[in-house]
Amino acid sequence: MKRKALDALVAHFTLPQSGVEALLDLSNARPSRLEQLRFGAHVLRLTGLLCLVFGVVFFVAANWDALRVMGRFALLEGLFVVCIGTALVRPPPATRGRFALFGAFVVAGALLALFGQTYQTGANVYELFLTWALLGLPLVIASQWSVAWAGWLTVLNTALALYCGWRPDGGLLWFVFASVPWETAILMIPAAINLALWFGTEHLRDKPVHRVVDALRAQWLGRLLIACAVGFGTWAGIAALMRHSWAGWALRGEEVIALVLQIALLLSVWAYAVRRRADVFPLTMVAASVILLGLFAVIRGFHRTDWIMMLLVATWLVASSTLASKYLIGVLRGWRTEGVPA
Amino acid sequence: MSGQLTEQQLVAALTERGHIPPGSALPPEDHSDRPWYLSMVLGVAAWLAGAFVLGFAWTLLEPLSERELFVVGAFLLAASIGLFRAGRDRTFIDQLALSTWIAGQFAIVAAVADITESWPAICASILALQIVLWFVTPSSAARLLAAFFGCCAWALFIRLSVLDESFDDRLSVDVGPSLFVWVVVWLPVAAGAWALVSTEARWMTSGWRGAIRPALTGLLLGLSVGSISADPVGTLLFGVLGTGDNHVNWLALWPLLDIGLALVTMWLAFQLRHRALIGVAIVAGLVHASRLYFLSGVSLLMKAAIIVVIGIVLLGLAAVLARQERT
Repeated sequence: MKRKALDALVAHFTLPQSGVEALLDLSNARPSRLEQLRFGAHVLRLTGLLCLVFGVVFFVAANWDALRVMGRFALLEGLFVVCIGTALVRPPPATRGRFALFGAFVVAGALLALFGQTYQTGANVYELFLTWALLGLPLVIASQWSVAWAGWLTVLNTALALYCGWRPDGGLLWFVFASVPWETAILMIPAAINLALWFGTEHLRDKPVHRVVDALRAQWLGRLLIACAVGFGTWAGIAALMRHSWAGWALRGEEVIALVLQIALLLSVWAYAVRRRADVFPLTMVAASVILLGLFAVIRGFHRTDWIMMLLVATWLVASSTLASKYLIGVLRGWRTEGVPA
Repeated sequence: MSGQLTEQQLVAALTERGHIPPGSALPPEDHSDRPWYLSMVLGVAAWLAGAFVLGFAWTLLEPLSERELFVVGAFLLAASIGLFRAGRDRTFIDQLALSTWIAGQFAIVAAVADITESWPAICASILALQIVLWFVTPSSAARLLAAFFGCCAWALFIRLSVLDESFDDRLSVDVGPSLFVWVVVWLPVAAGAWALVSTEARWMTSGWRGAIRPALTGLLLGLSVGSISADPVGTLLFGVLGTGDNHVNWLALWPLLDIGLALVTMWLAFQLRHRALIGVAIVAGLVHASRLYFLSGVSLLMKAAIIVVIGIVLLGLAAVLARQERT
């Protein structure tokens, strides 16, 4: 039970402190000593690992003169071999194996950065992240760990954001999309990739799957994917709306395409989430996107700076968020009444 | 993470143990409960609306003197508190009240800024305003925001007054003062949150539980992400600007200490079984790690050496805890 419900029980029955202690114990609201030790050990282990891998990244970035090129490569490659060796000795799902493969994934990124730094490959930053995501994928799959998948998604989305958000010249993606004149609608590509991955993880959720992809079924990972999908789409929509701001409603073809695609994305997420009846988070993301797009549509459509405009925008924000809340709470209650643990 | 007992089973168990008289009715169903992410969307929407409500008042009534602005702010705050009281659990009125509450604060802070023209004074006034609002505003969401903004204002107040920095620039600070200021800012906040968590059963019996609960959440949010607000504007999140000169500046190691705060937050959130706060603390820790990378003042080599040593120490501590767990 949530703390709010426990507070309500205490208030309703005017429980004394001994009653509250009993309430907290019976509802398992406080972790036991064993749980505390387990949590503490896990957090410290993970933080320690992250400190070590970040330390390596910082060290490579420091470009220390006293250590020659060969030494730097030897250091990183040695670490990579140690990580892989550890994972082979204690393979996932053992914690040590998971940590080792995650460490290997981060070291692989540092190695690629060192390669680019040393040989001046002329690669764009997005290419570093994209190559890292592609080459690191086997390590992440082998780790069988949702945290490693989250790291991989962060790297992939960074690459996509760098490319689709700023369209740097050069590299693999530029070669593919150089002739595409779009600047805003291209942001729907990362949105579509994240959406496809989300649909994929949702598809896996209720089925018996091989342990290698089991980590992808974590609910929080699905939420990260849908947040990225809706986030990129909303970015595209806002960019389309504001590209020629203060110019009335006239939109160019590409901007219309971006908005239509984003509306299609939101509708598909909404329809799927309502049909699936598992989690209200995707619906909340849809609502947040509608509120934001509506905000910029009002600003763009009425292009004024007087009190009427301010009132319109404030009214839109209050009214739309209220409607969204009422709708989402209604959906949530309906599902809970039917026994869905949403 | 949480227990499996339903409300009815819990009440039955408490009745059996003599804490509740037999035959007592269950409390009415709470219709205001909503998931954390929906609360966050509503909070951000209200915050944005608040800026536009103030913009509306400003453009309608301009030009406004400092005193007039202050009166407008006080009026908006009073109106919001009235709305909160009138519209308990009615979403539209709650949202309207929250945006008016935020607009009122903007107006008062703008008036204070015009009058004092001093950043420490502005931060002190924001802090005082948050404390007063925490006492008088009958809304959990508003009290949570008051506690969080209070933490941010406190951090900025100490930074700007003790270090004598300007709002958007950073001076070179030696290791001693750097550590001292950080401890002065964050030790009281961490100690306060820790005390509230460890005395939870005691304050849950008091009539202030409805005010303390959101304050605790706000303090924990402040502990995990509030430290970012103490950075100069130019260095927010990932910026390398504003760190001033090429001298050694130990303030660049604050993000490392902030990672420690994120860990403390995680621990306290775990005591409350608050998954959302644990998630926020994890994200905050990663953001602090990127701040540590980008903030100049201490060489990357030095930073690398420090965090590798810390990593080894943490892994050692984890091994000790794991051994205790096994025994």
